Amino acid sequence: MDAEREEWIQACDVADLHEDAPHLVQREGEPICLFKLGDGIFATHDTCTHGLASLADGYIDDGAIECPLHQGAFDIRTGTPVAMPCVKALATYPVKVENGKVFLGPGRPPVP
Amino acid sequence: MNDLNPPRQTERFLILGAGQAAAWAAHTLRAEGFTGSIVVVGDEVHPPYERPYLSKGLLLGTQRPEDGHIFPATHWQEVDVQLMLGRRAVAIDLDGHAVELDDGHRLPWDRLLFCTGGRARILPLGNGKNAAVLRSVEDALALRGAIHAESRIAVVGGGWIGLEIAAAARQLGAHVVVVEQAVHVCQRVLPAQVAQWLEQLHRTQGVTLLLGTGLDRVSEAGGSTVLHVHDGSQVQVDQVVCGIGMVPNDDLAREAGLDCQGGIVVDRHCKTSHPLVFAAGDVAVTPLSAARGAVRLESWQNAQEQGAAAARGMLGQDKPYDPIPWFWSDQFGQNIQVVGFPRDGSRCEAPNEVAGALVWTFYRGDDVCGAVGVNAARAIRQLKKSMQADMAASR
Repeated sequence: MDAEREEWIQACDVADLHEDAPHLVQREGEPICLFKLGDGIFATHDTCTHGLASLADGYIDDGAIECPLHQGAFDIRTGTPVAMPCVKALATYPVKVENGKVFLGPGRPPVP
Repeated sequence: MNDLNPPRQTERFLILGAGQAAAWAAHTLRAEGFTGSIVVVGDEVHPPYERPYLSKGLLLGTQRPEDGHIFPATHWQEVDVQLMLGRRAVAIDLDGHAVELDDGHRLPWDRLLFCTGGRARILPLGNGKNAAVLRSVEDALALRGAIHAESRIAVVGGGWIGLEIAAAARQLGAHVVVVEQAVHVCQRVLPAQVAQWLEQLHRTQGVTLLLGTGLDRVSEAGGSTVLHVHDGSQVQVDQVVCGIGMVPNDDLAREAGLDCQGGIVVDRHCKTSHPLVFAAGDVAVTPLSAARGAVRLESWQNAQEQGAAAARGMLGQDKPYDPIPWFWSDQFGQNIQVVGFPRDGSRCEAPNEVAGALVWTFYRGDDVCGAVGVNAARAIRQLKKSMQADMAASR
C-alpha cells in the first residue's frame, strides 16, 4: 500500500447522493459536502467562506451551491465564488467512485 | 434603457456613505473595469461593514466588530479605492460638480452616488435623554455593555430590530419587555397568523409582550426608568432601547434639489433626477415590479445588490434593477426568512411543517406574492426563484 492510496477515505454510497441537495459527511471533524451533478460527483468544504453557514442546507442551481444564509454562491466543480457576497474560494476535494462507494481524496482544509 | 454614456476612464467617481451599498458599488466599479478614481466618504470610522450582526452576534458577544467587515482591510488599497472615514459631506454643489466636507475639503466629482443610508428614529425619554438605539457598531457595543443577566430591559417597538434585541437580551439572561403600538409584532411585513407564531416564540422564551399599547410618559425613580403604559400600568427597567424605524439620510440630496419623497427617488438604473447622480441602499426610493410601485427597501439584500446595480448604472450599462425582496431574521435560534410581500396576499396556504421547518405561502389571485419560512431557507429560495420567473414572464 502506498501512502497516497491511504489518504482516500470512503465517504458514502452513491445511492446517498441526490441532485437537489448536498450530502454532508465528516472527515476527522471537517465537514464536507458531496454533490451529484449531471456529469459526476464533486466535493467541497461545507462552510461558506462569507458567513460561516453550512452549505449542506443550501440550494443547488446550475452547478452552483448557494448559501442558505445570504444567497452567495460557489461553483461546485471548482469552488470559485460566483455570486455576491462570496469573494473567497471554497476548498474542493477529489472524488472517485468504486463499486457504488464514493471515496474522498486528499485535500487541504480551508485557510481560516 | 440607460441613456448614460460610459465614462471616460479618467473620470472621478465619488460615493457618499461607506456602508454595505457603498462597498459593493465601489467593488463592482472596479470589477467591471472602471479605472478612474473612486473616493468613498463615510462618517463612521470603520471600513464598510454589514449591519445584521449588530442585533445578533455583536450583541450576544459571539462576534467581534471586525467580523462584519465586508472586505479584508487590505482590499481597498488593492483595488485602489480611497476611503475617507470619519468624514461627512455637508453640502452638494450639483452645478459645480463638487461636494463640501465637514473639514472644509471640497471634493470634485464627475459622477456621484448617494449611499447615505439612514439614522435610527429617536425616542426622547425626558430630561434631554433618549432611548438607546441600534444602528452602528458603537450602538451595539454600548447596548451590550448595558445588558446583564437579571437586568431589566424595555424595548420600544416590536419590529425586526426590536424583536432581535429582545431575543438577544433574553438569551443573555435579562428580563425583557417589548412595547408595541400595533396589535401584532412586525405588522408592516407579517400577516397576523405569522406574527402570532413569532409572538408565541417570544412568550415561550420569557419575553413580556405588551401589544396594541403605547407609553404615556417616562419618568425616573431611584436610578431606574419607569414606563407609564397607556393602560395605567407601570414598568420599571434599567435600560430603554427603541427600534422604531429609520429616517433616510436624504437631507443633502433634498437641499441640493434632487427629487426626494421619503428618500432619494431613483429609476431602475439607480439614477436620481440628476443624470449624473445616483442613489442606492436604504436611502433610495426604487421602482419595484413586485411592490407595484416605488418603495424603500431596508435590507441587507438591497444594500448589496442595489449597490452593485448603481455601479452598473453609473457605467452606462443597461441592466435594470428589479429584485424580489428578501430578508432574514434570527431570533432564539430560529431563522426566519421573508420573500416578496406576504401582506399583499388575500389567501394563505396552510403552513406545512416538516422537520422543524415551517412555510407560509401567500397568494394574490393565483400568483404567489410572498412567503415566510422558519428554518426553511431552501424552500424560500425555491419560491423566490419561481417568483422571479413569473415576474420575468409577465413583463
